[in-house]
Amino acid sequence: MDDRYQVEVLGSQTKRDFSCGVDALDRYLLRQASQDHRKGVAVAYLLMDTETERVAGYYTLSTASVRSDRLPENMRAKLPRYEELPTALIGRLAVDLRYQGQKLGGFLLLDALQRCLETSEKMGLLAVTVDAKDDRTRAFYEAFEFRPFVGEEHHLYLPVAKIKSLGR
Amino acid sequence: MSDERLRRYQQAAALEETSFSAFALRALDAATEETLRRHRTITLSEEGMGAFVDNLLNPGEPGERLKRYARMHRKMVSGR
Repeated sequence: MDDRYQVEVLGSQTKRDFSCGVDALDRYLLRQASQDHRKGVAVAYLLMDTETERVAGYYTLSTASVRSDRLPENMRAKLPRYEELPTALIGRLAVDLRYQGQKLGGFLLLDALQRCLETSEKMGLLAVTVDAKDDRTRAFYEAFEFRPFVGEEHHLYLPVAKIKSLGR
Repeated sequence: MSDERLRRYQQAAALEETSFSAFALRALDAATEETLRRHRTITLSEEGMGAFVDNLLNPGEPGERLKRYARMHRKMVSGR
């Protein structure tokens, strides 16, 4: 695959015929992604097939946080001044039906994780989170070692420290 | 709330063929959704936060699958 695929920030690429099998994810790319980008709410990264100029997949990243009304002992000791811990959120991740079965979902996830690692070196960022809305999504992220928050089981996270130990 | 403002709300509700209260609730729902989306904050219990912090401090070594995909990713992007 090598240089056939390229990850680009959302811009003027043709997104019209993107179809991943989940309507909401297709619609998001077509109608909402640019607007969210302009508002600074989320940035979409597109996996471009450089041979056909098609969008093969995409993911979105935004900032998020984890907080607690009562801080646990280990947090008071180790992260004393922070009530809210900064995280990144993979809001959406999808691969076009024509490109599925080539491990491109895993590729996109690793691309998102590496981007979060780079960001963590410039500003505080402790974990990457995802809202696993269904069993399939959940299984996908769990296979990459995301684990659920205690009491918030549909939200999963992966510590940035673990991404760091994967190297660059 | 000024009379003029109230009249505007009632006018908008009428245009949508709904009651003022249903219209207000819908607007409130939309604003709530947008705010929550914008803030994207997960609130945990003390126990939940404790487990999260433990895992952040001691995440363990990545497994084989994660490492394999990391290698594949590196290989694919190095050709860019």
